[in-house]
Amino acid sequence: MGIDWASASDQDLWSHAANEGAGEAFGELFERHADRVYAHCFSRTGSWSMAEDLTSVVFLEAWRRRNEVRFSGDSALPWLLGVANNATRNAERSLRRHNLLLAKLPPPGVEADIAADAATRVDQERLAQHLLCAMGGLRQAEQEVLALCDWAGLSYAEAAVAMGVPEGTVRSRLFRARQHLRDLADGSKARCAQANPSPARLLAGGHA
Amino acid sequence: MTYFHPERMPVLPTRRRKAARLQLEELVRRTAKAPKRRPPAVVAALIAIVAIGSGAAAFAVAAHAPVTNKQLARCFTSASRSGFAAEIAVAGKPGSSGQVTNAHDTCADLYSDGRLKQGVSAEMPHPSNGEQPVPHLVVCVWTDKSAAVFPGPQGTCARLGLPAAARR
Repeated sequence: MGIDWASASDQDLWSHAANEGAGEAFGELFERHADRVYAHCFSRTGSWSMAEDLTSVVFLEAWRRRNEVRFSGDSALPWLLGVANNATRNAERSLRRHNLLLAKLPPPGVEADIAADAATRVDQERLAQHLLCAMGGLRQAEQEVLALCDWAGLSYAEAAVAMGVPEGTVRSRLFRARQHLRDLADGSKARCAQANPSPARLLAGGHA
Repeated sequence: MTYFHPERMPVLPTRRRKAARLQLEELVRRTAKAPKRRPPAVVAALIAIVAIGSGAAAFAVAAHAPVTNKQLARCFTSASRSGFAAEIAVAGKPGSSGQVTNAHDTCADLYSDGRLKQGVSAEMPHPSNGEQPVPHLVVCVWTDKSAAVFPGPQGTCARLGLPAAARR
């Protein structure tokens, strides 16, 4: 009798995949978390197409680093978003590293052909790029804590797992990041209204 | 203060999702146990006896061989077949001679990032800032015909009983 992967915990799925080579178990983990990882990659890049590639990269990286996984409760999501932070920080290198496997996937955006959906995606890209531009003056760690807590909706404890820091550090870093963002708001309004920075530039240094 | 609501965002396109899932499942099936795989004890003992009995015989493997398994490569952190290895999906065009070069460069990237460190049997969890030193790397052909990148001088592959990767 087959295993009911859909009702298994993240830890069980990870264990079956890593110890027994159960591909379906890792497939189920992908199914469970791909959309959140996709959304997070989008929030860090402002590009849907790059987010699609990076989503695959995150899971390939997660598999490569499978022995380092940390769970928050039973969820692997916070750790996966931490992997996503690394992947988006070094997006070009991450994509190059997994180029061969990515080449086998369908090209990004193949289904974004419904007009209403396409318009929404373009609007969201603009909004994300504007926000990324506004956050450009923040330190990398401040950008990441905002993305994890305010965009992806992780709790302090989950963000701590994602960032590999104590929960108290997340709280103080988030407080400072929000304050810093408010301080920068006036200056960034004019700058970001005109600028249309490319995701690559935003990723490269975070300073548009 | 929440700007984005993932639950309201478009989801990963279906075709892309299916393909990525299938690819991951295949990768897991192929590689789950790969880093820990060791030769059976009897075979290892025979190899050891041959090596002790006739030193040169241990190096009687082909000097060079092509890398025909392009799916994966391994970056070792020590010049030892049983040492720690990080698996990578090799970048490059399948079937091209650039494959070996890319395995070398990709492992070099991992060292440069600080993710791998020579002599350390684990991937570094938090890459340090700034470029880290990259040891001299050689590309050998692993038992499954994939590229195995080791730190060490020329001749490391022969010393490990592995063919060096042939470049066309």
